[in-house]
Amino acid sequence: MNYLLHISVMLEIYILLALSANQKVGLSGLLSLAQAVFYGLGAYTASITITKFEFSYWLALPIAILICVIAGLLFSFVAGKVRELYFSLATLALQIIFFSVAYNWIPVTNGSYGISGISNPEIFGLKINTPASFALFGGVWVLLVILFYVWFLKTPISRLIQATRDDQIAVLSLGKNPNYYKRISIMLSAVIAGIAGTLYATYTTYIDPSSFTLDESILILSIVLIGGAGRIIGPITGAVIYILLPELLKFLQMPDSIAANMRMILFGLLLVLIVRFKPKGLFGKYLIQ
Amino acid sequence: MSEILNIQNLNKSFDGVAPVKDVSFAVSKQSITLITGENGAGKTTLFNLITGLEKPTKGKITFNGNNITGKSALEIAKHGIIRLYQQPRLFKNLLVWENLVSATHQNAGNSFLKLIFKPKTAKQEDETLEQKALDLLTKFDLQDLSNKTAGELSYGQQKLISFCMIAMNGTQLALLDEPFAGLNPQTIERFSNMILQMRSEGITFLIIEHNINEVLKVADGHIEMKDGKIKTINDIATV
Repeated sequence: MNYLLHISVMLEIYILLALSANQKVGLSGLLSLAQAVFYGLGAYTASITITKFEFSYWLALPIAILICVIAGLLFSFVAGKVRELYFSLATLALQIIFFSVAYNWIPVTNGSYGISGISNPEIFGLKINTPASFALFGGVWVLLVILFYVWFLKTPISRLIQATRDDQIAVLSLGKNPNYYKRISIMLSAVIAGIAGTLYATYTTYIDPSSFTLDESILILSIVLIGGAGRIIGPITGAVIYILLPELLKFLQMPDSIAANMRMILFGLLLVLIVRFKPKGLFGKYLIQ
Repeated sequence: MSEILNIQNLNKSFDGVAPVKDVSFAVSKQSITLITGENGAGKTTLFNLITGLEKPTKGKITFNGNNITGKSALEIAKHGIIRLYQQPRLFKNLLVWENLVSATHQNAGNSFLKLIFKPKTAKQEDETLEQKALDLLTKFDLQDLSNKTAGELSYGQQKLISFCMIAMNGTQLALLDEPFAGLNPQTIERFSNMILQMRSEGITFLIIEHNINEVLKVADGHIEMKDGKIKTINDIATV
């Protein structure tokens, strides 16, 4: 039972990450290879404020969100002006910088040893430290983000974000600043990934730089690619497939040592098949370019 | 009639080529001016200069009494000058009415902060604009297209819809680049009627077009360009 609940928590974290990637990659059409950076920023900010300054989760969370907003804003000033491949290259650079900093800034991040002893969140004096309570807690976050998108996708600004994706010059000719819409999208995406990061850090109570690598960014991107970009359901489906695939293999009585490799093989195979036969992903609105 | 656009001694040159040389003319409010000329006569560069996509080397552009020479494309668009390209540029993944509403400025929900802090105003304004878009489509008998995504439309339909965006946008001066190219005679007629109707509502037009006769039916003035210079200016209204 606990194992199932653990799986649910991981699923919730990946749903948040996939939704955050969808904001950037799907709605804005900005192919980001740095989704794990904002995930990591959220996780590290929460961990550092909680362990070093003994802040509660509820104080660490807004700080983490603020850091993600600032980082997203700074990054969008640099990278928001370029498009397509150049944007992806800029995100790649960001990803590499982040990893190097997390790995080498030992006084703050503790380098490869990571940060341990991160305390769990508390609500009204109740410690969220069992898998069941955390699954519920994560579920509330997922629900909040989904509700946000149900509302947000109908708003004028989300239409303009998608309009900027479709034709930047046309947005400009209408007297609107396409960079503004990209900036908002990058910041929004950073905040959601940051929230996922705070959940991850306080759930596992230990983080190190290996969770926030380029591999992780690419993984998040592939989840969106498989599920499909644009609609809410796409990224969620992608996350469900990624998380439940190894469980399915266990169900088939495959030994763990093989299942771990099989997971990547099957996921990769699925990715190839999707790109070949259903380039928009299972439930996608847009082609990821 | 009062003057809306005034261009004085406009020059553009780069690397020894001068696509626009000493062009001066004025356009009065609510007029329709046709610009013709062979390929390479400088028509498109002239449009690029007016809309700020290229900066003039010399000369002055005044719009509604404001000097807009050398301003950025975004600022100029905010002044109320809109340009429609030869290829219609719609947001192909949005619905037709969403395209029209996206063209507007007076929508609080276009700004993230206003959307968060004044959600009610944003919602109301957006609903009003949605209705305005539907009314506009109905006026031009395009209401059936409202809930289609722009990418599904035919070329002619896309042109008509992109033209409707002008009316949503609070545009004062519309620059049309070959609006009739690739359209059938019925659509051209429909387009001409739309132009006349929008002019009566206060919009001024500058139109580049090879289909001279069609535009001359509705035009008030005709500028012919050759080698970057103005060859002739005819004010049809006075002729």
